[in-house]
Amino acid sequence: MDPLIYILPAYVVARLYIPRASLLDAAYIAALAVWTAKTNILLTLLALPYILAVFVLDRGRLAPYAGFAAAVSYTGIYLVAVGQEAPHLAALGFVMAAAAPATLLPVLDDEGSLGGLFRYLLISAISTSMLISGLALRGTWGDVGNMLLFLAIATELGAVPMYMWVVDVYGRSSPAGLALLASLPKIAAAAALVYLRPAVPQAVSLAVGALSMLVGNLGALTSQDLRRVLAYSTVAHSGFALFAYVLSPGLALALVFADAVGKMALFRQLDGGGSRWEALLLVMNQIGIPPVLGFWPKLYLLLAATHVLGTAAGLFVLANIVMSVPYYIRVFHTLPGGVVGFLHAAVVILALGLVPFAWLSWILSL
Amino acid sequence: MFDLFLLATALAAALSIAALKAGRPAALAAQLAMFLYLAQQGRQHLVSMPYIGEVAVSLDFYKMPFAATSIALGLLVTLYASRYLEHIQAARWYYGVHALYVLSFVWIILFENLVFVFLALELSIITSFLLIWYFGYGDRRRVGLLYFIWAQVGSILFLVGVALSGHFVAEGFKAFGLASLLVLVGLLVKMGTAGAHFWLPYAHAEAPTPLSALLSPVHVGLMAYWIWRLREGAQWPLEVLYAYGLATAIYGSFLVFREVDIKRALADSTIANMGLLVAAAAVKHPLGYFALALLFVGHAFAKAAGFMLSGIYIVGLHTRRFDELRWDLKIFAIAVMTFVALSGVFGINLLGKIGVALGAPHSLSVVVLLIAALFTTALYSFYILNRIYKGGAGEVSVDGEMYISTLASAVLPYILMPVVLLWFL
Repeated sequence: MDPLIYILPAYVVARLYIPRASLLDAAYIAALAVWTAKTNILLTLLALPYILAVFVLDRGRLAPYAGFAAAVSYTGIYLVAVGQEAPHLAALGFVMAAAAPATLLPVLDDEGSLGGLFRYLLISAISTSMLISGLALRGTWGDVGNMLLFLAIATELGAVPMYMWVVDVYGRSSPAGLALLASLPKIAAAAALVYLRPAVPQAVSLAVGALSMLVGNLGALTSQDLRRVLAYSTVAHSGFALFAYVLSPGLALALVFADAVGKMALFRQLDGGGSRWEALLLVMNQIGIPPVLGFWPKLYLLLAATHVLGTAAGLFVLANIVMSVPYYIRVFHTLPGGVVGFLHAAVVILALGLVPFAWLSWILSL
Repeated sequence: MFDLFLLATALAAALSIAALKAGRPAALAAQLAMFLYLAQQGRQHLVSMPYIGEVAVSLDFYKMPFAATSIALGLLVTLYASRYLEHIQAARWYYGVHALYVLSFVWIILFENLVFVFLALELSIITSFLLIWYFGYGDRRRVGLLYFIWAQVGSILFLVGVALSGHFVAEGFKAFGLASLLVLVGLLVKMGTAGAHFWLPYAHAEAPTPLSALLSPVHVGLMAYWIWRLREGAQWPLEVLYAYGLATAIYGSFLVFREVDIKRALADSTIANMGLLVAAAAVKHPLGYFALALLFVGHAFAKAAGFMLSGIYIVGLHTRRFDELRWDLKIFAIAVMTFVALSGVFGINLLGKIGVALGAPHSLSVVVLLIAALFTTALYSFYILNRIYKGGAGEVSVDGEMYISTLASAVLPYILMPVVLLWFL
């Protein structure tokens, strides 16, 4: 019997009576992660950003619920993972994983974030509709079902041509809320890519990926507002991931994972400031400079693209990595300084970057 | 040996990080711990990575001079830096970043997997970039970025070349066509040879002086080892490379004459010496390696002494301009030893130059280039010495530690000469 049947109701009931329960949220996620370690180690690793997210909001009326949203979102990924044979569970899981963090977007009660939330819910509804249809059709009308699944995930990731919502939502919302929105739903979408594995023609994934990289980078290079720069950089990273998808689905997930953890910390720092060291590590992670986490997936994307798709593809990926340098340097300059930061994420980024042999082979084999 | 590598890495890294807070004592301890790396023998497998293959470290006879010089010089510069850093009011974390920078040199040489060599190169770029960005001179941020971008361009071209070649391990490395070219161009950009040199004088002159003393002779010089190491598999046209190296040496030497500032002159002279190193790395003669190693070691200590001397002037006289420099006997002694060694008239640099000359192909035009290169590299050294001498006698106040470490660096090219000769005999 799946332990979720017992743990989830117990946790939700406990959570209803304890308003500030970060430790309980973290413990729930950790318990689920430990439980899945035997059967699904990927899910265990994915718990890291969710545990980080429990502690990411430090102000705002909704801040005490960050952990709850993270826990619901993580449960969603769990359902996607176990629901590979049960499409209704996978669909439910996807909705939970994507929507729960989004509800905290207006954490600071500002009008912009509220507008952002409505827009996001609209997009999320479209994406979920495609996902449900895709899952339902996959058995009987394979090509169409797979394409719908792919489009649903690409929409959630913010890939071209469905990217404008990312810029629109990020551009109007408060960085505090974006710390959650820009990270957890993206990981959920990339995890869905790995677990549901939509089979689309290589050319589609490559084209969407290549265009997203380019549009994202060009957009970020020409934007002023830091939130918009980071929004476009998300588009670019979605591009990297979808480009990598044909080479290795695990690599696609690793690219989004590194970007998402970095984005969570960057938006947190944009909201509350942080040390220069932390900012440096985060920016290095986004560009892909060693020894931090973000380097390894980009290196392998470069190597695999060169060898499987040819020199031109490798150079295109490299050009896109290089294109991102100027705007990330701008991000480094513009991020507010301070002493109190969200150091946990920087530590995770550095630690995972220092021990690539502990996870790289395995993630590439997914 | 695996344990030794891990132990040295754990100690050196932990002490370097501790030095970010604790400053010089921890940085000294970190660099002393790095000598542990030199105790390991042979090749050691560390881990296997998907796609890029085996990651191993090795320290053989050929790597030893490069690794040992890097650590020894790092240590000397740490001893030297205290008074200088007080002068520029640098924060204590300077020492921690400096120790990590020295650690990157050891890794650049020790790693056998070229992707990990790239990683070590990245560590060296980031650490040196931070020191220029925060503690450099003049328009330090612009210069820092210029340096960062060009160093990255070199490293990335190297990495792309390696990726295209499909051979990630130095042993049995093979590259053809574009891949081979990119690996070479990447290394040459990082060395700042003619055509890819214009970032070098800015970066090396505007860096804080203790950093210049490592950046200029060691960081860029280590690339010559990799040119030498990969040359067989990459099938570069070695005669062309030899001539190009000599041409760089001549061009770099001429650049020195335009300068009015001792640090800029020393930075330009690095371009000339990198030319000699490229020529040495391209020598087909069996003595080619010795030419390379001797020129690297001799240039490293002499050039570091030159930069340390300029640091003494900056602290003592608050100037870098030739026409404002003064000398007393103890300063002049260092200047003479430094520039005579740098000229290659005596010291192990002389032996290195002989090695380069022995490797000259039988072509009249290359021999003319060779003579011109040997001459101009000597000439600019005496030109700098003359400019210092013309400044006139006068008292220069100098801190004891600064003086001793500069002196040690200046005499080493001479002390090592009988050692090398005895070893040969």
